[in-house]
Amino acid sequence: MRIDKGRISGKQFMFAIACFIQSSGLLTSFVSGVTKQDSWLVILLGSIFSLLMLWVYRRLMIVFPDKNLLEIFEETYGKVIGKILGVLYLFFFFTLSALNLIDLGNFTKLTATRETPMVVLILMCIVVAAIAVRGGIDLVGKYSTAFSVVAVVIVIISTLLVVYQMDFENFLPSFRLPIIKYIQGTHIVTAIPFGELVVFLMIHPNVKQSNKEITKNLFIGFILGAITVFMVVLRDIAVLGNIMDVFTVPSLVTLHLANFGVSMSRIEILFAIILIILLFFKIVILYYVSVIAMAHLFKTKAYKRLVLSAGAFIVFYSMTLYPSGIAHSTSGQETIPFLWTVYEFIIPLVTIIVAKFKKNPKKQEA
Amino acid sequence: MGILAIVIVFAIIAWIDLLPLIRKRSWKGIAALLFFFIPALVLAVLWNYKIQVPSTLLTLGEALKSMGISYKP
Repeated sequence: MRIDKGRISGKQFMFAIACFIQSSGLLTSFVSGVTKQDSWLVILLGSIFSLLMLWVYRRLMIVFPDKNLLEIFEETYGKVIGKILGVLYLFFFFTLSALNLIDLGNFTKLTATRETPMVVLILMCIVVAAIAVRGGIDLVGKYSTAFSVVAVVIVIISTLLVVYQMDFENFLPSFRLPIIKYIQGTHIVTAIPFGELVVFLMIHPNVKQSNKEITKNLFIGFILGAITVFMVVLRDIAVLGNIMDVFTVPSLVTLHLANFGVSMSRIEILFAIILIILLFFKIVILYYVSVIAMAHLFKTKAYKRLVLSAGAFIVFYSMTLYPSGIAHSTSGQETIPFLWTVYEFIIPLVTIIVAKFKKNPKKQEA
Repeated sequence: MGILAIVIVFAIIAWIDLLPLIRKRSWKGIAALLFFFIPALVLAVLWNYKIQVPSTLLTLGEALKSMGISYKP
Protein backbone atom coordinates (compact mmCIF):
# COMPACT_ATOMS: atom_id res chain seq x y z
CA MET A 1 0.00 0.00 0.00
CA ARG A 2 1.77 3.17 -1.19
CA ILE A 3 0.56 5.83 1.20
CA ASP A 4 2.29 8.79 -0.41
CA LYS A 5 2.38 8.55 -4.19
CA GLY A 6 5.02 11.27 -4.51
CA ARG A 7 8.42 10.38 -5.97
CA ILE A 8 11.91 11.81 -5.69
CA SER A 9 14.88 11.26 -7.94
CA GLY A 10 17.92 9.18 -7.03
CA LYS A 11 20.01 12.35 -6.80
CA GLN A 12 17.59 13.96 -4.32
CA PHE A 13 17.69 10.74 -2.29
CA MET A 14 21.49 10.80 -2.30
CA PHE A 15 21.68 14.41 -1.11
CA ALA A 16 18.94 13.79 1.47
CA ILE A 17 21.19 11.13 2.98
CA ALA A 18 24.15 13.52 2.89
CA CYS A 19 22.10 16.31 4.59
CA PHE A 20 20.88 13.86 7.22
CA ILE A 21 24.44 13.01 8.23
CA GLN A 22 25.81 16.54 7.87
CA SER A 23 23.29 17.77 10.45
CA SER A 24 25.15 15.59 12.95
CA GLY A 25 27.85 18.23 13.11
CA LEU A 26 25.85 19.25 16.16
CA LEU A 27 26.29 15.88 17.83
CA THR A 28 30.08 15.68 17.73
CA SER A 29 30.13 16.68 21.43
CA PHE A 30 28.77 13.19 22.26
CA VAL A 31 31.95 11.72 20.86
CA SER A 32 34.42 14.47 21.80
CA GLY A 33 33.42 14.02 25.44
CA VAL A 34 34.64 10.42 25.26
CA THR A 35 37.63 10.43 22.89
CA LYS A 36 38.71 14.09 23.01
CA GLN A 37 41.52 14.76 20.52
CA ASP A 38 41.25 11.20 19.10
CA SER A 39 37.66 11.83 17.96
CA TRP A 40 38.81 11.96 14.33
CA LEU A 41 39.84 8.30 14.60
CA VAL A 42 36.48 7.11 15.92
CA ILE A 43 34.65 9.07 13.20
CA LEU A 44 36.80 7.23 10.66
CA LEU A 45 36.27 3.85 12.32
CA GLY A 46 32.55 4.54 12.75
CA SER A 47 32.28 5.37 9.05
CA ILE A 48 33.96 2.07 8.13
CA PHE A 49 31.70 0.01 10.43
CA SER A 50 28.66 1.89 9.17
CA LEU A 51 29.40 0.65 5.65
CA LEU A 52 28.40 -2.80 6.93
CA MET A 53 25.06 -1.42 8.12
CA LEU A 54 24.59 0.32 4.81
CA TRP A 55 25.18 -2.97 3.02
CA VAL A 56 22.30 -4.49 5.04
CA TYR A 57 20.03 -1.56 4.13
CA ARG A 58 21.08 -1.88 0.49
CA ARG A 59 20.18 -5.58 0.48
CA LEU A 60 16.77 -4.81 1.96
CA MET A 61 16.16 -2.10 -0.67
CA ILE A 62 17.13 -4.47 -3.50
CA VAL A 63 15.21 -7.52 -2.23
CA PHE A 64 12.10 -5.42 -1.42
CA PRO A 65 12.18 -2.56 -3.94
CA ASP A 66 8.54 -1.52 -3.53
CA LYS A 67 8.12 -2.04 0.19
CA ASN A 68 8.91 0.25 3.07
CA LEU A 69 10.44 -1.09 6.28
CA LEU A 70 7.15 -1.87 7.99
CA GLU A 71 5.86 -3.70 4.91
CA ILE A 72 9.14 -5.66 4.81
CA PHE A 73 8.57 -6.76 8.43
CA GLU A 74 5.02 -7.93 7.66
CA GLU A 75 6.13 -9.86 4.60
CA THR A 76 9.10 -11.45 6.36
CA TYR A 77 7.74 -12.20 9.82
CA GLY A 78 4.00 -12.37 9.22
CA LYS A 79 1.25 -9.98 10.31
CA VAL A 80 1.54 -10.34 14.11
CA ILE A 81 5.31 -10.04 14.58
CA GLY A 82 5.43 -7.55 11.73
CA LYS A 83 2.93 -5.32 13.52
CA ILE A 84 4.85 -5.63 16.83
CA LEU A 85 8.05 -4.60 15.10
CA GLY A 86 6.13 -1.81 13.40
CA VAL A 87 5.03 -0.43 16.76
CA LEU A 88 8.61 -0.65 18.09
CA TYR A 89 9.86 1.28 15.08
CA LEU A 90 7.05 3.82 15.45
CA PHE A 91 8.41 4.52 18.95
CA PHE A 92 11.92 4.77 17.47
CA PHE A 93 10.92 7.23 14.73
CA PHE A 94 8.92 9.46 17.09
CA THR A 95 11.72 9.41 19.66
CA LEU A 96 14.31 10.36 17.04
CA SER A 97 12.05 13.18 15.84
CA ALA A 98 11.59 14.46 19.39
CA LEU A 99 15.32 14.21 20.20
CA ASN A 100 16.35 16.15 17.12
CA LEU A 101 13.63 18.72 17.73
CA ILE A 102 14.90 19.38 21.23
CA ASP A 103 18.48 19.56 19.87
CA LEU A 104 17.35 22.20 17.39
CA GLY A 105 15.56 24.13 20.11
CA ASN A 106 18.60 24.03 22.40
CA PHE A 107 20.95 25.04 19.61
CA THR A 108 18.77 27.94 18.44
CA LYS A 109 18.45 29.13 22.04
CA LEU A 110 22.22 28.91 22.49
CA THR A 111 23.14 30.77 19.31
CA ALA A 112 20.38 33.18 18.43
CA THR A 113 17.31 33.55 20.64
CA ARG A 114 18.44 33.20 24.23
CA GLU A 115 15.35 34.73 25.85
CA THR A 116 12.73 32.88 23.79
CA PRO A 117 11.04 30.00 25.67
CA MET A 118 12.01 26.58 24.32
CA VAL A 119 8.41 25.56 23.61
CA VAL A 120 7.96 28.57 21.30
CA LEU A 121 11.10 27.66 19.31
CA ILE A 122 10.15 24.04 18.82
CA LEU A 123 6.52 24.90 18.06
CA MET A 124 7.65 27.28 15.31
CA CYS A 125 9.90 24.58 13.88
CA ILE A 126 7.20 21.91 13.95
CA VAL A 127 4.61 24.18 12.31
CA VAL A 128 6.93 24.80 9.33
CA ALA A 129 7.92 21.12 9.29
CA ALA A 130 4.22 20.16 9.25
CA ILE A 131 3.73 22.22 6.08
CA ALA A 132 6.64 20.37 4.47
CA VAL A 133 5.39 16.94 5.57
CA ARG A 134 1.85 17.63 4.34
CA GLY A 135 3.47 18.53 0.99
CA GLY A 136 4.72 14.96 0.70
CA ILE A 137 8.09 13.38 -0.04
CA ASP A 138 8.60 15.36 -3.26
CA LEU A 139 8.44 18.64 -1.32
CA VAL A 140 10.61 17.19 1.47
CA GLY A 141 13.29 15.95 -0.92
CA LYS A 142 13.28 18.94 -3.28
CA TYR A 143 15.78 21.06 -1.39
CA SER A 144 18.20 18.35 -0.28
CA THR A 145 20.69 19.08 -3.08
CA ALA A 146 20.89 22.81 -2.33
CA PHE A 147 21.18 22.32 1.43
CA SER A 148 23.88 19.68 1.13
CA VAL A 149 26.01 21.67 -1.33
CA VAL A 150 25.71 24.87 0.73
CA ALA A 151 26.72 22.90 3.85
CA VAL A 152 29.86 21.59 2.15
CA VAL A 153 30.77 25.07 0.86
CA ILE A 154 30.32 26.64 4.31
CA VAL A 155 32.39 23.93 5.99
CA ILE A 156 35.21 24.44 3.46
CA ILE A 157 35.14 28.25 3.74
CA SER A 158 34.96 28.17 7.53
CA THR A 159 37.86 25.71 7.66
CA LEU A 160 39.99 27.94 5.43
CA LEU A 161 39.20 30.95 7.62
CA VAL A 162 40.59 29.26 10.74
CA VAL A 163 43.66 27.70 9.11
CA TYR A 164 45.91 30.21 10.86
CA GLN A 165 44.46 29.10 14.23
CA MET A 166 45.32 25.43 13.67
CA ASP A 167 48.09 23.77 15.59
CA PHE A 168 48.68 20.16 14.65
CA GLU A 169 50.19 19.51 18.06
CA ASN A 170 46.60 19.71 19.30
CA PHE A 171 46.17 16.14 17.98
CA LEU A 172 48.68 14.98 20.59
CA PRO A 173 48.85 12.90 22.68
CA SER A 174 47.30 10.32 20.39
CA PHE A 175 46.14 6.78 21.13
CA ARG A 176 46.68 7.16 24.88
CA LEU A 177 43.12 6.44 25.97
CA PRO A 178 41.97 2.98 27.12
CA ILE A 179 40.80 0.77 24.23
CA ILE A 180 37.25 0.75 25.63
CA LYS A 181 36.99 4.50 24.98
CA TYR A 182 37.74 3.97 21.29
CA ILE A 183 35.18 1.16 21.16
CA GLN A 184 32.65 3.40 22.92
CA GLY A 185 33.36 6.34 20.60
CA THR A 186 33.10 4.17 17.49
CA HIS A 187 29.84 2.67 18.75
CA ILE A 188 28.40 6.15 19.46
CA VAL A 189 29.33 7.40 15.99
CA THR A 190 27.97 4.28 14.29
CA ALA A 191 24.68 4.36 16.22
CA ILE A 192 23.84 8.00 16.56
CA PRO A 193 24.47 9.83 13.34
CA PHE A 194 25.21 7.08 10.83
CA GLY A 195 22.88 4.28 11.91
CA GLU A 196 19.86 6.61 11.85
CA LEU A 197 19.95 6.21 8.06
CA VAL A 198 17.68 3.19 8.70
CA VAL A 199 14.79 5.68 8.43
CA PHE A 200 15.47 5.91 4.68
CA LEU A 201 14.13 2.36 4.39
CA MET A 202 10.71 4.00 4.86
CA ILE A 203 11.34 6.34 1.92
CA HIS A 204 13.10 4.18 -0.66
CA PRO A 205 9.88 2.91 -2.37
CA ASN A 206 9.23 6.55 -3.34
CA VAL A 207 12.61 6.92 -5.05
CA LYS A 208 12.98 6.55 -8.81
CA GLN A 209 16.10 4.38 -8.95
CA SER A 210 17.31 1.06 -10.30
CA ASN A 211 19.14 -1.53 -8.17
CA LYS A 212 22.49 -0.28 -9.44
CA GLU A 213 21.57 3.29 -8.59
CA ILE A 214 20.52 2.27 -5.06
CA THR A 215 24.12 1.27 -4.30
CA LYS A 216 25.52 4.43 -5.86
CA ASN A 217 23.06 6.83 -4.19
CA LEU A 218 23.25 5.23 -0.77
CA PHE A 219 27.02 5.02 -0.57
CA ILE A 220 27.88 8.33 -2.24
CA GLY A 221 25.36 10.17 -0.05
CA PHE A 222 26.81 8.51 3.03
CA ILE A 223 30.42 9.24 2.03
CA LEU A 224 29.62 12.90 1.30
CA GLY A 225 27.97 13.30 4.71
CA ALA A 226 30.66 11.37 6.56
CA ILE A 227 33.48 13.38 4.95
CA THR A 228 31.77 16.64 6.00
CA VAL A 229 31.46 15.50 9.63
CA PHE A 230 35.06 14.24 9.55
CA MET A 231 36.31 17.61 8.25
CA VAL A 232 34.37 19.44 10.98
CA VAL A 233 35.87 17.26 13.72
CA LEU A 234 39.40 17.49 12.29
CA ARG A 235 39.11 21.28 12.11
CA ASP A 236 37.79 21.53 15.68
CA ILE A 237 40.55 19.31 17.09
CA ALA A 238 43.22 21.24 15.18
CA VAL A 239 41.98 24.52 16.64
CA LEU A 240 40.77 23.53 20.13
CA GLY A 241 42.73 20.40 20.99
CA ASN A 242 41.67 18.42 24.02
CA ILE A 243 39.61 21.24 25.52
CA MET A 244 36.95 20.69 22.84
CA ASP A 245 35.02 18.36 25.15
CA VAL A 246 34.36 21.31 27.47
CA PHE A 247 32.08 22.92 24.90
CA THR A 248 28.53 21.91 23.98
CA VAL A 249 29.10 22.84 20.32
CA PRO A 250 32.86 22.95 19.68
CA SER A 251 32.42 24.19 16.10
CA LEU A 252 30.86 27.43 17.30
CA VAL A 253 33.84 28.12 19.51
CA THR A 254 36.25 27.25 16.69
CA LEU A 255 34.62 29.67 14.28
CA HIS A 256 34.29 32.36 16.92
CA LEU A 257 38.08 32.43 16.96
CA ALA A 258 38.19 33.47 13.29
CA ASN A 259 38.51 37.22 13.38
CA PHE A 260 39.60 39.38 10.46
CA GLY A 261 38.46 42.72 11.79
CA VAL A 262 34.98 44.15 12.24
CA SER A 263 33.62 43.04 8.85
CA MET A 264 34.81 39.43 9.09
CA SER A 265 34.17 38.47 12.69
CA ARG A 266 31.44 36.35 14.29
CA ILE A 267 31.40 34.03 11.26
CA GLU A 268 30.11 31.27 13.50
CA ILE A 269 26.66 32.60 12.64
CA LEU A 270 27.15 31.14 9.12
CA PHE A 271 27.75 27.72 10.62
CA ALA A 272 24.81 28.18 13.00
CA ILE A 273 22.46 29.07 10.13
CA ILE A 274 23.42 26.08 7.99
CA LEU A 275 23.27 23.74 10.99
CA ILE A 276 19.77 24.96 11.83
CA ILE A 277 18.74 24.40 8.20
CA LEU A 278 20.27 20.90 8.10
CA LEU A 279 18.79 19.93 11.46
CA PHE A 280 15.41 21.23 10.33
CA PHE A 281 15.71 19.07 7.21
CA LYS A 282 16.53 16.02 9.35
CA ILE A 283 13.50 16.73 11.57
CA VAL A 284 11.26 16.97 8.48
CA ILE A 285 12.50 13.56 7.24
CA LEU A 286 11.99 11.96 10.66
CA TYR A 287 8.57 13.61 11.09
CA TYR A 288 7.52 12.42 7.61
CA VAL A 289 8.70 8.87 8.32
CA SER A 290 6.85 8.86 11.68
CA VAL A 291 3.60 9.94 10.03
CA ILE A 292 3.95 7.38 7.22
CA ALA A 293 4.62 4.66 9.81
CA MET A 294 1.51 5.76 11.73
CA ALA A 295 -0.61 5.67 8.57
CA HIS A 296 0.75 2.25 7.63
CA LEU A 297 0.07 0.70 11.05
CA PHE A 298 -3.53 1.96 11.04
CA LYS A 299 -3.95 1.03 7.35
CA THR A 300 -5.10 4.49 6.32
CA LYS A 301 -4.01 6.51 3.30
CA ALA A 302 -5.06 9.79 4.89
CA TYR A 303 -1.58 10.49 6.21
CA LYS A 304 -1.96 14.26 5.73
CA ARG A 305 -4.70 14.27 8.37
CA LEU A 306 -2.29 12.76 10.90
CA VAL A 307 0.45 15.36 10.48
CA LEU A 308 -0.71 17.96 13.00
CA SER A 309 -1.57 15.54 15.81
CA ALA A 310 1.77 13.74 15.26
CA GLY A 311 3.51 17.12 15.40
CA ALA A 312 1.77 18.06 18.65
CA PHE A 313 2.78 14.72 20.13
CA ILE A 314 6.41 15.18 19.05
CA VAL A 315 6.54 18.66 20.64
CA PHE A 316 5.25 17.60 24.05
CA TYR A 317 7.00 14.23 23.98
CA SER A 318 10.30 16.03 23.37
CA MET A 319 9.77 18.05 26.56
CA THR A 320 9.67 14.82 28.61
CA LEU A 321 12.79 13.14 27.24
CA TYR A 322 15.61 14.70 29.24
CA PRO A 323 15.54 17.08 32.21
CA SER A 324 18.87 18.65 31.19
CA GLY A 325 21.56 18.76 28.54
CA ILE A 326 23.90 16.78 30.80
CA ALA A 327 21.36 13.94 31.14
CA HIS A 328 21.02 13.95 27.35
CA SER A 329 24.76 13.86 26.80
CA THR A 330 25.30 11.12 29.41
CA SER A 331 22.52 8.98 27.96
CA GLY A 332 23.90 9.47 24.45
CA GLN A 333 27.34 8.33 25.55
CA GLU A 334 26.41 5.42 27.83
CA THR A 335 23.15 3.67 26.91
CA ILE A 336 21.56 5.00 23.72
CA PRO A 337 24.13 3.38 21.39
CA PHE A 338 23.11 -0.08 22.66
CA LEU A 339 19.40 0.69 22.29
CA TRP A 340 19.78 2.15 18.80
CA THR A 341 21.97 -0.75 17.62
CA VAL A 342 18.96 -3.04 18.01
CA TYR A 343 16.84 -0.89 15.68
CA GLU A 344 19.59 0.08 13.26
CA PHE A 345 21.55 -3.13 12.84
CA ILE A 346 20.28 -6.21 14.65
CA ILE A 347 16.66 -6.18 13.49
CA PRO A 348 17.46 -5.24 9.85
CA LEU A 349 20.23 -7.90 9.72
CA VAL A 350 17.95 -10.60 11.15
CA THR A 351 15.25 -9.51 8.69
CA ILE A 352 17.47 -9.92 5.63
CA ILE A 353 18.66 -13.32 6.88
CA VAL A 354 15.09 -14.54 7.53
CA ALA A 355 13.96 -13.14 4.16
CA LYS A 356 16.77 -15.02 2.42
CA PHE A 357 15.78 -18.30 4.12
CA LYS A 358 12.13 -17.76 3.21
CA LYS A 359 12.98 -17.05 -0.45
CA ASN A 360 15.41 -20.01 -0.79
CA PRO A 361 12.76 -22.72 -0.20
CA LYS A 362 10.66 -21.00 -2.93
CA LYS A 363 13.62 -21.16 -5.36
CA GLN A 364 14.10 -24.88 -4.62
CA GLU A 365 10.38 -25.56 -5.25
CA ALA A 366 10.61 -23.69 -8.55
CA MET B 1 -3.68 31.30 30.13
CA GLY B 2 -1.49 28.36 29.16
CA ILE B 3 -4.32 25.90 29.37
CA LEU B 4 -6.47 28.19 27.22
CA ALA B 5 -3.75 28.26 24.53
CA ILE B 6 -3.49 24.45 24.64
CA VAL B 7 -7.26 24.03 24.30
CA ILE B 8 -7.33 26.48 21.37
CA VAL B 9 -4.44 24.78 19.56
CA PHE B 10 -5.88 21.29 19.97
CA ALA B 11 -9.34 22.53 18.98
CA ILE B 12 -7.82 23.94 15.79
CA ILE B 13 -6.08 20.61 15.09
CA ALA B 14 -9.37 18.77 15.64
CA TRP B 15 -11.21 21.21 13.36
CA ILE B 16 -8.61 20.93 10.57
CA ASP B 17 -8.00 17.17 10.67
CA LEU B 18 -10.54 15.31 12.80
CA LEU B 19 -13.74 16.83 11.38
CA PRO B 20 -12.94 15.91 7.74
CA LEU B 21 -12.17 12.35 8.84
CA ILE B 22 -15.48 12.14 10.72
CA ARG B 23 -17.35 13.49 7.67
CA LYS B 24 -15.68 10.87 5.44
CA ARG B 25 -16.37 8.20 8.13
CA SER B 26 -12.73 7.16 7.87
CA TRP B 27 -12.65 5.16 11.10
CA LYS B 28 -9.07 3.98 10.64
CA GLY B 29 -7.93 7.55 10.07
CA ILE B 30 -9.83 8.69 13.17
CA ALA B 31 -8.25 5.91 15.23
CA ALA B 32 -4.77 6.86 13.97
CA LEU B 33 -5.33 10.54 14.71
CA LEU B 34 -6.72 9.94 18.20
CA PHE B 35 -3.87 7.53 18.97
CA PHE B 36 -1.53 10.53 19.12
CA PHE B 37 -3.99 13.38 19.63
CA ILE B 38 -5.09 12.21 23.08
CA PRO B 39 -1.58 11.49 24.47
CA ALA B 40 -0.39 14.81 23.01
CA LEU B 41 -3.23 16.63 24.79
CA VAL B 42 -2.49 14.82 28.05
CA LEU B 43 1.24 15.59 27.80
CA ALA B 44 0.46 19.22 26.98
CA VAL B 45 -1.78 19.62 30.05
CA LEU B 46 0.81 17.92 32.29
CA TRP B 47 3.52 20.17 30.86
CA ASN B 48 1.37 23.25 31.51
CA TYR B 49 0.97 22.32 35.17
CA LYS B 50 4.71 21.48 35.37
CA ILE B 51 4.01 17.87 36.29
CA GLN B 52 7.06 15.69 35.62
CA VAL B 53 6.46 12.85 33.21
CA PRO B 54 8.91 9.92 33.46
CA SER B 55 11.28 9.90 30.51
CA THR B 56 11.05 6.79 28.33
CA LEU B 57 14.73 7.01 27.37
CA LEU B 58 15.99 7.47 30.92
CA THR B 59 13.80 4.55 32.05
CA LEU B 60 15.12 2.33 29.24
CA GLY B 61 18.65 3.53 30.05
CA GLU B 62 18.25 2.52 33.71
CA ALA B 63 16.93 -0.87 32.61
CA LEU B 64 19.98 -1.38 30.38
CA LYS B 65 22.34 -0.31 33.17
CA SER B 66 20.71 -2.76 35.59
CA MET B 67 21.46 -5.52 33.04
CA GLY B 68 25.06 -4.31 32.73
CA ILE B 69 24.51 -3.13 29.14
CA SER B 70 26.07 0.33 29.20
CA TYR B 71 29.39 2.07 29.01
CA LYS B 72 30.91 3.28 32.27
CA PRO B 73 31.19 7.06 32.69
